[in-house]
Amino acid sequence: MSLIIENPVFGIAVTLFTYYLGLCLRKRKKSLLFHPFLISLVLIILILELFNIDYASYNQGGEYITYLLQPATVALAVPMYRKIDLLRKKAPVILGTTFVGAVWGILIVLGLGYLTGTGTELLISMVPKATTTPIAVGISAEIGGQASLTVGMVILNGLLGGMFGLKLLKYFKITSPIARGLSMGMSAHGIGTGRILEESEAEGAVSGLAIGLMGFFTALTAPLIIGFFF
Amino acid sequence: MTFIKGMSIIFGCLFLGKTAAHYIPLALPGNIIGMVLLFVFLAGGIVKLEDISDAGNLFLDNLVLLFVPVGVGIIRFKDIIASELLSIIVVGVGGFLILFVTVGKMAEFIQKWRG
Repeated sequence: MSLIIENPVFGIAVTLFTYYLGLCLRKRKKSLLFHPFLISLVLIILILELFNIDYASYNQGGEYITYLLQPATVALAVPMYRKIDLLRKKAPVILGTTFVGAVWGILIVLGLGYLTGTGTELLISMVPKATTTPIAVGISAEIGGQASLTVGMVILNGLLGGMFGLKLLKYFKITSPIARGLSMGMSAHGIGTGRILEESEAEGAVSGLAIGLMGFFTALTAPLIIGFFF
Repeated sequence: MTFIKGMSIIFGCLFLGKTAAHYIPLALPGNIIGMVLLFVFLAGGIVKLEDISDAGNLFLDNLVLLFVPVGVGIIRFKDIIASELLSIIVVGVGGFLILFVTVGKMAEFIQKWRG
């Protein structure tokens, strides 16, 4: 048994298989909570707990998959480049909002963390939570956070945006398509973008562009802000 | 063939980004520098979109799969999550709400101001 578990193939196979199951389930039931990521996550955790397998054993294979986040981040340049005309046309509002919003987003996390007395390790891990996962993992490592906690918080942001984003935009009377796209992309990254794309292609395009810019500006400023406060 | 070309470009940018990360005085992750480089190469016409769309799509279409193992790692932090659940809810949900609403309002303000 341990011979099979203590081998990278276990982590890789179990990740692919559970994720595939998640994809199949989503075909039957379309809901944010039936997301293949969540299904795969829950199934793997159940398997590890049930058979008393260490995370370290699973991660011997898992880390190969994790490594692919590196080239995947580079590939994020492609959707950004596809929207370069939009960026050129609306540069002041898009660049201004994403830059100020990135700094503001970091300060919100640090401020609320300070008010609630959040422990340093958790707080640092939460700093990049508004950015897309591959970028957030990179930032988290750079500023001394725990990537797993970061991913958890990033997913929470995405789910909140996917489930309540459109209602919030309506409630707070945010009507400009650019502003709506920016709110979604800068707070709820890919999950929020997917949701707003169902409503409007133009808003989805802004949201998609905001993902990369929010990630870039957060990566640029987070180490400086963290260095200042800690 | 195009696929391998695209992969070479993506990993080439990653390599350049990681190398640059050692030399520039900013704590910017090498993969993010690689993303900026690829964007610049595309915008400058050095890399053609059709050369990297196949390879790029392989990553982008399956992006969510790639963060499953890191996500599973959350089981190592059961104690932190249990003892700091209130912080997680306040910073997680509250932080999301504040950012989401203020960013939209800010964008509308800039649009009015810049026309």
